[in-house]
Amino acid sequence: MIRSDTIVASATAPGRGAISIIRLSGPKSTEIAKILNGKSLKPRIATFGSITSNDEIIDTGIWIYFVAPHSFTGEDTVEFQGHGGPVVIQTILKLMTALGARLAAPGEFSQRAFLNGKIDLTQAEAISDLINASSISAVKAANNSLQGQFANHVNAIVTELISLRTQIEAHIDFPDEDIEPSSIEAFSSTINHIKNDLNTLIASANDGVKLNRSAEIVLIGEPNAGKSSLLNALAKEPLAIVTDIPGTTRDLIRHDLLIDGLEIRITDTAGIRSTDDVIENEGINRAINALQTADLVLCLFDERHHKISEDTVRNLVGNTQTPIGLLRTKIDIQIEPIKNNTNYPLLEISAKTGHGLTDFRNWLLEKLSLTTHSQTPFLARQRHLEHLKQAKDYIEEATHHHLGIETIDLIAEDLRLTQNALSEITGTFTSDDLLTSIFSTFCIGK
Amino acid sequence: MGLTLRSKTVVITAGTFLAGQIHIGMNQQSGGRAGDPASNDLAKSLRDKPFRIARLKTGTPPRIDSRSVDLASLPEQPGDTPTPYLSMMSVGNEHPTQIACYLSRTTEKTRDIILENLHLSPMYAGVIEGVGPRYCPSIEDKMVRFADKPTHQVFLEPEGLTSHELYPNGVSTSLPYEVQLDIVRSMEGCADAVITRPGYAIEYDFFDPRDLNSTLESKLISNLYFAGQINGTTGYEEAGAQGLLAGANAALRAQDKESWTVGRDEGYLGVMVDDLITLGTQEPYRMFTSRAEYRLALREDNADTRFTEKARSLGLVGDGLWRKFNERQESIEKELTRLKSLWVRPADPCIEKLNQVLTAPLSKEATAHDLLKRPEIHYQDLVEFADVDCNDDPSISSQVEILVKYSGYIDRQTDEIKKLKKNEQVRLPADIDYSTIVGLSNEVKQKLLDHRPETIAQASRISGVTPAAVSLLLVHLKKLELTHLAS
Repeated sequence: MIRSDTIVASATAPGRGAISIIRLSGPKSTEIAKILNGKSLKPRIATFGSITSNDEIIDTGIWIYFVAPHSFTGEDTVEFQGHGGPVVIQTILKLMTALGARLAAPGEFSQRAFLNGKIDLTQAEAISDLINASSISAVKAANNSLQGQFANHVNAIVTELISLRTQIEAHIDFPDEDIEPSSIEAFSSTINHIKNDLNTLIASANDGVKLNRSAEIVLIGEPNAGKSSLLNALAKEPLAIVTDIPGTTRDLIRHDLLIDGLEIRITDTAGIRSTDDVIENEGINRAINALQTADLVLCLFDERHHKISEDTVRNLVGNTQTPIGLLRTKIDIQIEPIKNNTNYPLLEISAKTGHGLTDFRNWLLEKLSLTTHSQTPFLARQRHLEHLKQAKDYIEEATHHHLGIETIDLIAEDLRLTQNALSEITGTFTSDDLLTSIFSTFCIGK
Repeated sequence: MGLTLRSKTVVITAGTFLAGQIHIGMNQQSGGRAGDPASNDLAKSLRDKPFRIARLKTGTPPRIDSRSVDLASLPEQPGDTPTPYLSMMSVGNEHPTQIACYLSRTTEKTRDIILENLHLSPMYAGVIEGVGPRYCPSIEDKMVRFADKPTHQVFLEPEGLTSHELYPNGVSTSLPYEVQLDIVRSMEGCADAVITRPGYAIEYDFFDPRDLNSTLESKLISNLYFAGQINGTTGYEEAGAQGLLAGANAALRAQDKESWTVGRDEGYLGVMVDDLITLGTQEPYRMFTSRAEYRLALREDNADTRFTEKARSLGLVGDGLWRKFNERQESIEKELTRLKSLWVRPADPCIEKLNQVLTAPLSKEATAHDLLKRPEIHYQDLVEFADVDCNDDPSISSQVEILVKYSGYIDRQTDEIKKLKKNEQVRLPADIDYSTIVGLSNEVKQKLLDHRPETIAQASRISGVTPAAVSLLLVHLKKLELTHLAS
């Protein structure tokens, strides 16, 4: 086994199901369950119990304990089947992480299962796909969480920390250089300042985060390829103006759908075509922006197309990491099959007759539950919060030292760990980056 | 000479000699260092091999005749007292007399001279293509990059006990000789200085260290080892440490013995070699303590603990040193145990004096070991106030004090090291085909191809290799393992 810590996540798809399963895997699983449930679990026996915090019952449900190696992951695993609801699930996850579990990384349960020999070789590719797809959507969720004021605050703290570390590390590494002496008091007050900033940020970090995120789909295609008709057929009510004149859709039209409990936000874009019309050009720009942050982009092709190549697709969507699906529309008009020379999946529908719509919906669900599973902005923010708290703990240790020559290396160590914790949010900051900062700040070299 | 020398293993430590090109002002000539010819034939024959080769540059300051400098007018910079020794076998009287360095400074006039003559500097005139370091290696760099700094310090270091030459540390330059003379004479205390040898910049070949194993053996030609500037490093300690590693491994190989590698948690040597072979280098690589993630574990005072046992097993430590090492380890262990069993109680007669030192008075009984953990208490305090018997050997008591005081941090780093060890042990096969791994982005594939990491831990240290990519690698390895079992 490569990792031996305990991970936790919701094992059921996000949405409004009647039951939700929260799964713990790793050595601390039973210990955490015992604290929340009030009594120990017996292996393999489903027990009715509860999750209690501060004498308040958060949820009641069924606990099941699978003993290693006889579990999905091959590790000690505990499952709690509760009553769902995003708020309850997030509260339970918070309680469990506070007790020492870590929010699972994308695909981590399956990865552990595979590494522990619980899944056979034929499924290895699927595991790779899962890790890949969910990490892309996790990055997206994290980016969404890191927007606006929150990101500004985190970046301001990191900038201040880098400047402080530059000063302190230069003192340690280059004692013979004539670096202008920054006073020890100044270090101390900066450390306190960063600590207070972190505290303020942690206190306010939960504000304004949506608990659940809809899966986002962008429809894209040449003018009149049938985007609006598809949207109307899925939504079962007219939303976009459907006409035969190319370029009718000038703005982005969004509609929220609920398919089998999964919230889906579909964005209809202006037909991609070059035009001198200022308003329509603006629409095209918005379409291109929208597809960068989406979970899936659907390219629509009507009867005018007979074959689809990689270039055809790239002309429509440009260079994007977003997963791509192809949709042949208006199959009621012409039934001559279209040639798909790409690796992207192709589905066929008619918005008019409803032909293929059921298959399309099912395919959509499968595709989206893979990528959006457990990657809500709330979870992304929870991960960020965990790292902010770690950072705060480390910098607090730095404030416990009496600052002086003897303790400067201990403080430097605390600050390094503070930075590592923040790097989980803002991206890696290496020792080499630190050296660059030192050399551009101080004149060093003999 | 037409001689053929045969050897089972070879270590190349070519310094700056491989296709060395010396620059003084606009004059350039082939040379390995001042007065020595370059190794052009060796450079040529190595260039025919499939190595990745690039150029680096370094420089040296002009040497000054100490008799021409007004040393009395400059602040003296004496060595450390007591004199520190490299080996624990050292005794004071076998060491030569220590002599002082002096501290001179550049002046505004120095800056004017340099800025006026910048067009004569091969670095700034674009003659040198080799890459210098990000820090300021030459006085030209200092004046250009930190133009608003009025003065820079220059350490005047005697070249030896029997030499009259001074090494002016801080004024490495490749400006023409006449300009160098003006520069030196504009420095404090150096108005009449005489230059004995001019400074120069030198460009030389180095071999991409990512083509090396962690034993410093070439991945392309087995039994061939590289050490020192040929691997893109600069500095005496950097070169010396690599020489030790490459030399020991060449000898081990010649005897068909198992190789020796150093981890990032074991020594700066390990950090340097891992940085070089995993990340390569774009500039002359110098060791800085901030490069080490386990700085608190890599201390000068515990170098013996970190290396003596290994060195003994490699045959690099004699009986005398081995005995002394074991005695010392035993004394430290004994003293730690003793402090843990030594109780200080609030009712003890010494308590009043002790409370004066403590930030909060002692409220319940504590061991001397616990007391020593407090930042305000030093070993000497325990001896003075808490009736602790003094341990005669100051090096033992200081080691004990460090171990106790830093214990929280040392434990934390030990945990971190253990966690990483797991990834260090997962090896990536040399013939792994990254292009077939599902899900890796092209950028990550290219980076892994360029760096060819030996372990999962090394792969994870390459910039741009995400945790998700590491997961995909692990899954791929497991897949290989299963396929292998199946066949």
